[in-house]
Amino acid sequence: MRAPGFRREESAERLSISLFVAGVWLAFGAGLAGAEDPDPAPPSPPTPPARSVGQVTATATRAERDVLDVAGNVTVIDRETIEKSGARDVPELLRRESGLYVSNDIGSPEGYRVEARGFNNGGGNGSALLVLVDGRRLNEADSSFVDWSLVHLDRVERIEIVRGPGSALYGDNAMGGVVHIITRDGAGAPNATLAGRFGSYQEATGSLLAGASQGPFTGSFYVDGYTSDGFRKHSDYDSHMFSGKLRWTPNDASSFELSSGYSADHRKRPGTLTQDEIDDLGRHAREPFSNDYDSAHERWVQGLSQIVVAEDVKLELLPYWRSRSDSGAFKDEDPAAPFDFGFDTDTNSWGGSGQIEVDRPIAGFQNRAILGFEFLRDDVDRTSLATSAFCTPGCTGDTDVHRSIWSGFAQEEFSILESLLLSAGLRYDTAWYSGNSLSATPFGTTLENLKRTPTALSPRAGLTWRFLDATAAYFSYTRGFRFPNFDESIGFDGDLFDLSPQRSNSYEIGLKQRSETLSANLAFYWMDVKDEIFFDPLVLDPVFGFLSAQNTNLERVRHRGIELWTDWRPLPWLELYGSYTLNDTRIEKDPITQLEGERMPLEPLHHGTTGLYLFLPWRFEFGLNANLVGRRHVSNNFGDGIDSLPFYYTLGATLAWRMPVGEHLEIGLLFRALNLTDQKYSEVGGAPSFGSGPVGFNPAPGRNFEGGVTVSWQ
Amino acid sequence: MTARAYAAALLMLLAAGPASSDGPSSQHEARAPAVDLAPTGPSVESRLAEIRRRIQAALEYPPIARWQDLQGDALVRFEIGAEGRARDVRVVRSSGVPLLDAAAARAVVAAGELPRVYGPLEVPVSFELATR
Repeated sequence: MRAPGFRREESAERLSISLFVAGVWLAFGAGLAGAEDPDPAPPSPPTPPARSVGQVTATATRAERDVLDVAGNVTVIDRETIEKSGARDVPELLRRESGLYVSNDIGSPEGYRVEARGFNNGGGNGSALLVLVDGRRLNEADSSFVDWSLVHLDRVERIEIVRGPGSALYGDNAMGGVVHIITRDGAGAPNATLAGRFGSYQEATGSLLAGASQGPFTGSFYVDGYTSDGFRKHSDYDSHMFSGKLRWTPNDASSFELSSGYSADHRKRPGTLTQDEIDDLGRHAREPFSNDYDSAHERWVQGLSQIVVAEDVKLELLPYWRSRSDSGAFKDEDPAAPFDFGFDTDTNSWGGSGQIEVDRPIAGFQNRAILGFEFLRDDVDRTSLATSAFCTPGCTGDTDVHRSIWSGFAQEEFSILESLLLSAGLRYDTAWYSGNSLSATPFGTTLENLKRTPTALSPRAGLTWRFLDATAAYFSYTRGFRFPNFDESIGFDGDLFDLSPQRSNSYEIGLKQRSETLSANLAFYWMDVKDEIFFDPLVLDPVFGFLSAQNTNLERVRHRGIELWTDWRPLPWLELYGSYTLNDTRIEKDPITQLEGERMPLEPLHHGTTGLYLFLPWRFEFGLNANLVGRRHVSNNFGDGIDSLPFYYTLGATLAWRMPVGEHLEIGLLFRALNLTDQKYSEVGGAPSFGSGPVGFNPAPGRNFEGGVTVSWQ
Repeated sequence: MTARAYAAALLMLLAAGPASSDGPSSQHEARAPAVDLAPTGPSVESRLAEIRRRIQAALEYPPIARWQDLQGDALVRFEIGAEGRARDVRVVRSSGVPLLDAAAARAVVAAGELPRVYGPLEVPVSFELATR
């Protein structure tokens, strides 16, 4: 019994051993047996498919205002539009907008001038368009102009454009409108975009934008370089820039941002050409004997703190510092009448703004209030030396001036009915100008002290009626102002001009539409400007009685106009856009030089754009753009005895191709042809400021081309 | 002896599954069929729906994101641990906004005790700002 039993046990034991061996083989060997790769490393285990529990969604009410709710002519250029446009710089994009007039005297990024609602009246007066970059003012303290070469399109996330006075919220300089540029932050997984362009006139530009997020930190940096010989002789332009941004979001309720940058550029200026010189020397020539140049270095630091103290209450602080050094020379090397003027200007600006925003509905109706302050400080130090037949051995100027502006403001938006939004605002600004200007000439030395304390009260009121979900009508009243800038207050020769701030009362009605296929804005405005600052060629010197051409206040100037902008996508592969601006700016009252009824120079009565995008197979995109500009007086003239600058148009075409390569890489190619029909025109021209003489023209580039490549990695 | 030998072989056979899957979750995957195929109690679909409901209840829009106009879609992957809470929570597709990614992952953790479901789960999370 035992033996069989033993045998049975032996058999069972053999079976159990066999099963054990089988188990071991199945457990450890099966996987390996199936692997044909002799590599002893085990393969990575397959990830089991995940089951979806279904979509969850968090929704909140947008704190940012809807374009349709704003009682004003507002448009936004987003990143998608920037990329498909193929545009080289911000002003080129702004040309497509209604209400803005863009001109460029020498064709370089620094030569642009952008104005809104009829303030492009030339001469020595400053800009009336406020430009902000991430909330920081870009207008220069001495001239109020904007150096557009400081804003690079590769760095831009979106551009918000508000036409008409915005002083009730933004204060000084927001007279014709506000352009707010928001830069990209590079958030998310590590990402980088490398871009390069090459074009006519030895143009070459390259940029790198890289960013990443890690935990609560998001950082990015941007670097670029640009060089071009320019369309005209002696219009070389070189620049480079570096900027960085770091954001820390420690929790759900606060965010702190620090950004900084450095920019340097050097440009030669070709001067103007008379028609005879254009005929003899060609459109690309430089002004004979002229050897003007300019260089600028700029550094800036800015911060942004946002703290949500309650779900619907936010505190915001935006401090900044900016330093700019300009040096340059206006040289006329004509042996018969040599003239040399050189200058160095150092400008330091710092300040900040703070505001508390409350976005809390009352009884279910929209209610948003803002209470804030702003402080600005500008210090300008300029030295100059001029030598000429009248200034031998030389005339010197030494200007050291300061300006502080304190402001307080309050804004309120309240929906009095579900589709009716009432908005109102008030801002008070007070400025202190101080400093002195010392000028020394062979005739003597003059010391002038600057001491002024202008103030401005800027109310606004608006009513928006959103009578359809995607359509709104509005009416608004706004008051704008601009304090005289330092260049207007103090001439290069050290003379002080007793100028008042210019102020406007503006009324506007408009219609806006936003839908998947059609976006449109239509606005009618009427703006009376009191004491508009104007470089008046007809002002007589009070002592000697000759024409002295200087900045003065025109008692009343009327700006009236119509602005139409549309973007229509009738088909998935077709997008059409266009804009039209009628801008009639006339002097209504001018007891000093009797210019009543005259239209302001350099501002065309009509201008517009039209264009299309075709979204073609295989990821090709084709764009066509036409820019049309009507007749306008040359600067320092009102059409008396001098022909206006004629109507011109330009046509541009863009072909772009974008192709993903793998999961993380995208390559883009771009080819552009500008001024396709090779139009011969001048965007800008001017009569001499002093005395008589032929008109000087600034010939614009002829037909030119550029190509580019972009590599994006994410 | 025979029984122990069978048991050992069976264990080794069962170990074949865990050996080819993620380490920490292997025991749950081995047990999973017994959970999912439980003859009584809510169906898998109803348990998934309950998980979704609890995550939705725990989901919050970060206040600063609302003020900064930040929106996006994230995809969060997780598993349910032995104690019924989400574990191994990670964002497998970013919204592009770290703040929103963190809020999405936090909602899964904050959902508390969840019905047991075997294996990895995914929840698409959208953050949308509505105009009044």
